[in-house]
Amino acid sequence: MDFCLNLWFFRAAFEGARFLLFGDPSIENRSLFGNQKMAHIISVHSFRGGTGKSNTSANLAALYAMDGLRVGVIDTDIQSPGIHVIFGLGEEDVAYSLNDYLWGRCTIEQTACDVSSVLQGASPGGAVYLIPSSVNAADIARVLHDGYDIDLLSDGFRDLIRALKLDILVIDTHPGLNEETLLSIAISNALLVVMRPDYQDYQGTGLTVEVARELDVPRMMILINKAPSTFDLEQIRRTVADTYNCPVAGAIPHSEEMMGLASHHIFAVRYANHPIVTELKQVAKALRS
Amino acid sequence: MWSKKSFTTAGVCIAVGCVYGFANFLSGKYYLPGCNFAELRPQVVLPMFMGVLYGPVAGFVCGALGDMLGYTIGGKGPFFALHWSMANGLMGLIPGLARYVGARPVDAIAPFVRLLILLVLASGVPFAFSTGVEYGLGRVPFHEALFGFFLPIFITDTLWAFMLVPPMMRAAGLLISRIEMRTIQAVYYLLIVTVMATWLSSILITMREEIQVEELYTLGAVTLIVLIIGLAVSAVSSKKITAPVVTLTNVAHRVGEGDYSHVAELRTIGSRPDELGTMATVFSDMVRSVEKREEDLRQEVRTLRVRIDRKKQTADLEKITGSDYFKTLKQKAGNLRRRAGAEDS
Repeated sequence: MDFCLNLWFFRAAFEGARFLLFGDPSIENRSLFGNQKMAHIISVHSFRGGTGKSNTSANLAALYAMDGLRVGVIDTDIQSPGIHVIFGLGEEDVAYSLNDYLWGRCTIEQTACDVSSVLQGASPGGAVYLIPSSVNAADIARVLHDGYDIDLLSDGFRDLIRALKLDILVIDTHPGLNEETLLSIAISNALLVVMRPDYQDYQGTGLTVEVARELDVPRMMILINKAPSTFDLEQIRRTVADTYNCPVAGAIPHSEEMMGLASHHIFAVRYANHPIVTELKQVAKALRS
Repeated sequence: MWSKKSFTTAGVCIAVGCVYGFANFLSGKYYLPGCNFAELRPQVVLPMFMGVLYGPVAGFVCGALGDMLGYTIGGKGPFFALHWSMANGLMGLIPGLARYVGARPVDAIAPFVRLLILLVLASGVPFAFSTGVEYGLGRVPFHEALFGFFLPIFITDTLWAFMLVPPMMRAAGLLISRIEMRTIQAVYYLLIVTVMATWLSSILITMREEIQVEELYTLGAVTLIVLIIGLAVSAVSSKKITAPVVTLTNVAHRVGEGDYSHVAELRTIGSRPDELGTMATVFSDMVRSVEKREEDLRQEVRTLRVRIDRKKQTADLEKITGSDYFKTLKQKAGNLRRRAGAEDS
């Protein structure tokens, strides 16, 4: 007991000195995989589609990379992939997709596409790698028909973090609560549940939060997205936090500018000083703290 | 350059002027009692109406041209009495100012009163001028100028104008029957017709019994003054009756546009002890409750309410967490977390 206490004391002293000398030590996060890199895994999930989940994942990844971190974004929405569009990737740009890895055609690191160029040089030392799912109709049909080995996905996350020396892995999940979604949630350090202030989202969000609670996810937060401008955002935050007994990471109003980008660019890069980006930065910070 | 519309206007003015001149020629055969120049001329309303319709120039052309044409037809030549022709022109010109003094269109008591003032001026000022010329040139003594020229013309022309111009304007769509006009019109026509009938009877009696013309025209002048006072009184009382209705209508319009800030204007009307007061109070209460309901609704829209079927949620949760996959996953995740925690410490 005493030994443990002493160890804790020395570790605290070391961290304090390191903070004074080198700045923010928050990069050092715990990982379920317990490897030397200790990457932070963040799952971005919503029970229903159309909540802005992929956009949020892409923006969070961009913000982390602009903060100098190495970020991986993995599109596990194999049945309806979409995040590659936000990063400007076409079908022809993808040599290997996540599907190829799951079918044993390649290693996970071979699927990673370096999309750091979308940050337009605003990422000193940072990088973004995207692991896209296949947009090929036959591949999607095969996944739907044959399924795949879920454990491979789990191994893939671990190998990816090691191979690319990632600080953060953002998992853009498939809506609903299927096996790969449950896996993503289970292995995450943080879960961001994205919901719209819409009756269609309330019940499913509640279920997702309870399931994540059962899986003992260390940090779980809700992001309220696409709130109509007539709503009082503070009131929405309070109501959602009270209803789901879960902290609200941010409340983002519906934005014409964001709609104007039509998921073709990363909002946080294009409108770096927009109030929505400020809110997203808070979300990013809250998920890592 | 003249447009097609200008040509049409000029054509109508000249045509009506011709009608006016021919009517002058006909009525010129029957002078009013004690007069050798003034006559009963209902046609005076033609140049006045042309003035109201097309403006002062049109009114002047119609009046002056028509008068000269009347003399011409009578064989006296167009320049027989140029100052009288000019006076006839002025008689058309003055009502032509209606559009500049807010007397056209007539949709309330205020513009109606302005129109009547113009008609009185049109019947008086030009003939005061022409009679003055007659007197100034020494053609007639003052007594005759007053009782043989000015008063007979002024009284009869005013009455004709009062009686005929408003219906003509209504026919042309320039007199709009809003509530104020509807209220005053009944009294107005009753008064005018009565006074006109009395006046014409007086003229007939004078012609038969040879009453002193001074008495006739003094009576006429007094009648005209009484008529004007009567009209003024009826205008004021009509305004008092209708003003609350107009205010109510204006406020209702604004409420319809979503502006509730003018409801306070109904407070004065609401204090009236009559039906209008009751109506204003009921309307104010109604608007207030509508405003409150709207505000509540707006607040409702602004306020998010999240409703969850907890029973269904529990059932769904049990379905997911009860599966073998979930139990295994939870166990694996737990082991991984513990291992990570151990490595960390």
